[in-house]
Amino acid sequence: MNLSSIQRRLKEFAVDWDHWWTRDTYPHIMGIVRIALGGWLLFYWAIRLPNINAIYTTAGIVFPKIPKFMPEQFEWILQVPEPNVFLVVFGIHLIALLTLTIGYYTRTSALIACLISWYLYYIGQHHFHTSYDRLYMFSLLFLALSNAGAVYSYEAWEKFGNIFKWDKMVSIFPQRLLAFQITMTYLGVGFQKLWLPGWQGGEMLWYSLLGVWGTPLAFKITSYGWSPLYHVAVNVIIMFEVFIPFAFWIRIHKIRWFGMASAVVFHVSVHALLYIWWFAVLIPAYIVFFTPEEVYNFIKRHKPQFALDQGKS
Amino acid sequence: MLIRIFRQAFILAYIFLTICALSYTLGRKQIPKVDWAYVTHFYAMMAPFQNYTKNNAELMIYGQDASRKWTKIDYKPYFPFSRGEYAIRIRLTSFRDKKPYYTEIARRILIAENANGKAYTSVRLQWEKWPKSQYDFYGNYTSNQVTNNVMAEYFAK
Repeated sequence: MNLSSIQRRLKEFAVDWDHWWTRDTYPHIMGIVRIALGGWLLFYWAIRLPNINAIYTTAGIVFPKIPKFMPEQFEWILQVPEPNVFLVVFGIHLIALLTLTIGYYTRTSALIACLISWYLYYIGQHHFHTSYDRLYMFSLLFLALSNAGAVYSYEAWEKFGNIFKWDKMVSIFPQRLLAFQITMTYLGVGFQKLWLPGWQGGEMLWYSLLGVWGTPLAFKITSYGWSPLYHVAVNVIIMFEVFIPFAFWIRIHKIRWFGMASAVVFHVSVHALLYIWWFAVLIPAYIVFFTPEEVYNFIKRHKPQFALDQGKS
Repeated sequence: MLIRIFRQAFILAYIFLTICALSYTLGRKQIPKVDWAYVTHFYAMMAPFQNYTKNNAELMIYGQDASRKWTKIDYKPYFPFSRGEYAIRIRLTSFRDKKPYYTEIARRILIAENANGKAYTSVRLQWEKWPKSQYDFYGNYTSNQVTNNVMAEYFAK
């Protein structure tokens, strides 16, 4: 292999890389993701509204965390706020999530919601340091970088008088970031279970069901007693979690669909047995594993009025 | 052009930090010279339940009155969360030295309870632990099975 062929291959790789990460394409997937994620986050935060004083303000018992990277002159931002001040901040957060969901000032709304989520994390959420809170924050950042309001949005209605009309192709970049992150989340979670000592037997599942997250259904099941089937169940969970992140990308033989179906069964079971319902938002987000062209053509075939041709009129 | 450079830089930084997180997730190896503060969010997005315990535990709150009688105080008005979320939040894992925070919680609860008509002379926080039961979360919560560990007690002045 001579130098010019290496150079050519590198150039081809750079072009493919750029095409995969940043090509312009149909805006419909990100429009759907925006509605699903925005709506979900609006629900997630709105249900906390009755308790915000206890969780985030001087009226409750609140200990904020000052991150190490925060310059001293900005630390006042993370002082526990008075209830009336916080109500304004929280109100802006909910309004930003609402406008994000309907696609009105989409990027600004996503950015505001992302920044307030960051604020809420250091004020009160850091005690409940969960994977999904971080996923939510990064997803809002991705939406702030996207043109997710280009279709199925108030912006489209304002521009064309029809939420299904659209005129510009958008970058696939935020969709790829979201797909990459979801893949890595499943990959890390699945593969770590292969060697974590706690995950080498059914006891993990058995004792988790009996624990602090157990639902009445979980206790109903455990009331029948221990069974070696718990070993089988844990091995099945690990097998599928290792399989899922790869399956999402394999289009042949309906493997992608099989991976998604397994993930849906997994999340629904977790919800039913462990009161851990927050990851269910990943289910509609699996749409990012389809290409925008596939989704656009699919909608056009089945509901042509929802996937109009590109154009201003 | 500037946007293209920014995008590629963002992608490369994101992939790099994800690899750092994956390296810690799968091999417990931190990439040298990469500050953990940057990696931690990426790690947290890919870390599963690490282990299980054979006991259930809950931070119980008790108030003592002048007759030295202890009464259990409901945590919900102060920490309005599900049982699971409360159990995690109240561990205060963000702080290394938890004692001053638990004492402050006890102090604030004492003030709030007494303002609501109680006459507690002290409030105590203690972790209570009992063997898990296959029938109910509190199935084995009996006096002979519970062990406790006092975290803080605050006395009225």
